[in-house]
Amino acid sequence: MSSNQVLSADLIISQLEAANVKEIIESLGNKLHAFGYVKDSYVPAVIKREGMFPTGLPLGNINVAIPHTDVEHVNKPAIAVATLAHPVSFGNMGDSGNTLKVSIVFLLAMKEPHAQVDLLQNLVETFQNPEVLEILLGAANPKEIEEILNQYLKLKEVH
Amino acid sequence: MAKRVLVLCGNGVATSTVACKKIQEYMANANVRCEVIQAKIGELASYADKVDVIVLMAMGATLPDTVKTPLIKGLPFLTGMGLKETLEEIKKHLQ
Repeated sequence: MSSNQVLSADLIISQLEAANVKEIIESLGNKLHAFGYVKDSYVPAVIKREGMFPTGLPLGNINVAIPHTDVEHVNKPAIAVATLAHPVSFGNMGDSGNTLKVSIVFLLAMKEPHAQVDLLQNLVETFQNPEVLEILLGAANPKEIEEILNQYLKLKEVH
Repeated sequence: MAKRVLVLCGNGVATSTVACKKIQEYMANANVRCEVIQAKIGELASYADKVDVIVLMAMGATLPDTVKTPLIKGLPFLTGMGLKETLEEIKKHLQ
């Protein structure tokens, strides 16, 4: 994949079978690690942070989580995405102590926050659209998810 | 002097970036002059007394009782639900 591309089918898992948050972060984080986007410390750091500051977002029928961590664990920016075969409980970002069922996970590896502001903004607006979430969840494979997201995020040329 | 809003998240990188941009755009459109500062929860002590309102993006965090600055929960910046109301609430503290 091009080194400037933050989103790629290589970093997407469709219909991931996972029992809990840790398994999801490990599956996606290992992909980021395999392609050199993140350091060895990234996956444990994300798991730890998710425990302290959960990122499950209450959006409606289809909820999303956006695990992430400090920039020091990241080599270059990327977003890994998983649609889940079965919804998994995440801590609710808006109501600490409570959980919600998440169906789509965006694992963020951010390097320079200000450089990625448009991307983050587009991402947030994308998952505020229930129709897009529905389409993503119904996608058959990583390539399809990549195409849908590129269409909505206009990510192709984001550096 | 322009008033200041402090946007706090667990690591000052992802969610607070989105909120900062929205606040800047909204206040610019409303002709409200303000400075938007982005920081990590751990950096709160250096800013708490110097800002007019705090927007908290790491909802799991609790701030020390000593912080008397008005506090607003930033979840609507991510879910879109109640966003206009949240921005108006922030605006009140900046006028």
